Amino acid sequence: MENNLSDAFKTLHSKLRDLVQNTLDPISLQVEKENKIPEDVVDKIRALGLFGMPIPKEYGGLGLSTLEEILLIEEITKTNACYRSRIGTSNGIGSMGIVYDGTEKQKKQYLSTIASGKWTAAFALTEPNAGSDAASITTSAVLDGDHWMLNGSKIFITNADTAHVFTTVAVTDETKGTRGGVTSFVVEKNMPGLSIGPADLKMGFKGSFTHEVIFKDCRVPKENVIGGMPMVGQGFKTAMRVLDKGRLTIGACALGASEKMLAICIDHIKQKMAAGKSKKQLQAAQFTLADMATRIFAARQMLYHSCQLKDQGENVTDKASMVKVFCTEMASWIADCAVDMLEEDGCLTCNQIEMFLRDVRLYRIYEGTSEIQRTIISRDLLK
Amino acid sequence: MTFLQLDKTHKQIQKAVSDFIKGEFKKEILEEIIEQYSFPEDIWKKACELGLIGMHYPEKYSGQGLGIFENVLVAQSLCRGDSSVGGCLVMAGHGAELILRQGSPELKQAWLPKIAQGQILSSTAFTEPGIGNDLDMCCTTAKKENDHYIINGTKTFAMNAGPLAGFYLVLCRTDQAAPSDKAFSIILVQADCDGITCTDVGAKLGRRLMDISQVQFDQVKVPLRNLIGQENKGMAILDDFFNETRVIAAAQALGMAQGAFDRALAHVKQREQFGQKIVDFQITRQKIADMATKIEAAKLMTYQAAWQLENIKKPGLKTGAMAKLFAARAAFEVCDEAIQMFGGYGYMQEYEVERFYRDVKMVDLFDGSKVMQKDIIAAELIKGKGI
Repeated sequence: MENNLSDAFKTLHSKLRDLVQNTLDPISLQVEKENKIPEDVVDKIRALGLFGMPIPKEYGGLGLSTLEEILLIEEITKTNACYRSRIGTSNGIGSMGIVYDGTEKQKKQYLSTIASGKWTAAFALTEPNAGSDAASITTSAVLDGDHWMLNGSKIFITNADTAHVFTTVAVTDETKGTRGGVTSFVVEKNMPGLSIGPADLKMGFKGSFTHEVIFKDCRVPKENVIGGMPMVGQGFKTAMRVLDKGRLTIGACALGASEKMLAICIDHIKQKMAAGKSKKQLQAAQFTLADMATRIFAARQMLYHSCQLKDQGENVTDKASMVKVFCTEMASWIADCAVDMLEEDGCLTCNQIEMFLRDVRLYRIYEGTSEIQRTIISRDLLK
Repeated sequence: MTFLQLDKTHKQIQKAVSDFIKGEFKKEILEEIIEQYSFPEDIWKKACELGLIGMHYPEKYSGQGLGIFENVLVAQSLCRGDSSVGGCLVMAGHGAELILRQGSPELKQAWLPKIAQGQILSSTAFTEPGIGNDLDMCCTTAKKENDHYIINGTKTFAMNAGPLAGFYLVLCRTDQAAPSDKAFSIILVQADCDGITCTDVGAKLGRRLMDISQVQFDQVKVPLRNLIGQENKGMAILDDFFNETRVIAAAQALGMAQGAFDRALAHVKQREQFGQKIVDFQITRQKIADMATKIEAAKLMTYQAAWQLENIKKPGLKTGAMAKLFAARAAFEVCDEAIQMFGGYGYMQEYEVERFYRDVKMVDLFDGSKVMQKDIIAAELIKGKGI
């Protein structure tokens, strides 16, 4: 597989690896405790072009393939989850609606600013009564002359604090439901009637923030429908396409975290051996390391393979679901075993494992719970 | 072979704790305590007034004269009410069993009432940096000088080691030459002695309201009468102590699992998606059944272990080890599923289940790793101590 990667990409991958090892990971505990990524560190991520990985080159992005993007995500998640989260919405759910279905004008207007990292993009779909059941959203958009008036509340919106643009999914025709009644909009932060609630207090993902986003008679220009007026009512499809790719991404996040946890565990056992603990007493730990490594190997194959198929133009909806379920459940299993392996030290944030335990827990929930993934997979099997 | 049935006293105890929780574990109060990472002092003192701490101490030492089983019921119910605050209350007397079971009458009189009355917390200091569960590698020494021990060394993960601790129960090497099973002693070190430095271990996964610290002992002078049990018998004393604390740990895990289950069940009964209550999906019901079955098995093992410690002549170490191993594992799985049943809300601190998950994982980690518990169990079975 390595043979098919360009030299340019290999250089970028190597630069990111260095950034993680020399900058992002060394400040892991500080970011965790202060609940903040320093701005100069965000700049370094920005400088590598990482806010626009899949955005086409003609619009200022890196134009990476799915596989290439996933390889970078795997790398940047070998530390706190928040770094990937900071760029994640711009690369994925926040911008891909515009990439897939936007008008030429919208692509030119927004994509290069997002890709450069100057503007962060967020994705506003989830509501208090529409979690897994995204079709139940009630945020409304009513056409009033030149403008749409948006009313409603979105919750758990990642990067709402730093976002300049929100891909917002709203109901334009209550009678039609998701087939013709839902529209995706580009809403800019300074449009009147938009406000952001306080940051949610979460189990993990320190340094990354989710907020409520409130639309109160929020005036959005008529032309801000993603894809223009012809796409009114077609927004649910856009939203689902955007989420589809996210499954492979989250799989990569879980894989990166798993690989880092395995590395920490291997180091720990080596230290125990050096301190005189016999192999006989470490056999159980050795078998656990073997199980961790085996699962990671399996996860990597299914993830990379699915990315390659997607890049070849194949529909990977079900495979992506399998990848998400497998990788995210693996990460939680590994974190649980890793905490045990470190004994009491496993509970200390400074050893990172407990941070990973908390961070990876979200992966089984957001961007489609494991239950939704299993529904998608089995539905296809039973067609 | 007996089948356990809760009798009138047991049910009264459960009701007393349940009423206490209803009255004192108010959501706003708990939220404030948790936000400030502070030990729940007010609630702790009220719990002591009610006799919930040190229930198993004799009445002459301010206890209720009850047993391990009753103590287990209290631990279970408090942790069911809240994993963090409940956990703090249950652990308030952690280590006191060493004084209770092995201490001299003078030590019992000096310290047990203070714990039961909520004047001090009991702190244990066994492991040291880098050694984990391998307590035989401890380097902290207690050397005799006239009528004192002089203690030198550094302990870590000392539970309750902070401003509220009245003393530390310290594992020290008292015989420099003997093999480890005959070389260690447990010594009670008053917290206000000179030469003690306490440093918090730092940010941690769970039990965040508890002080857990590294404690350095620098030429600390302790009277010989503070020895717990016999000199150089420390490891054997600790074995019995851990057997009892593992059952209490199992009870905490069990309570936390029940608390998480209570919250998750209530949530799925009212939350609607896809035009129906979450509880009406078959998968949700399968999960509820799995969770409840695990809790039931954990409960029976924990109760049985508590009963055995009190009623069987030589219950063996596997009693406590099996109970903790199973209950902590089952509880972690239940808490994990509870988070999942809340969906995105499960990741938010406000909905509590993520805290139960983190607190229950801490139970898993202390008083011996899973590998160690299994080694203990296997060793006894191989020696012929059947099931």
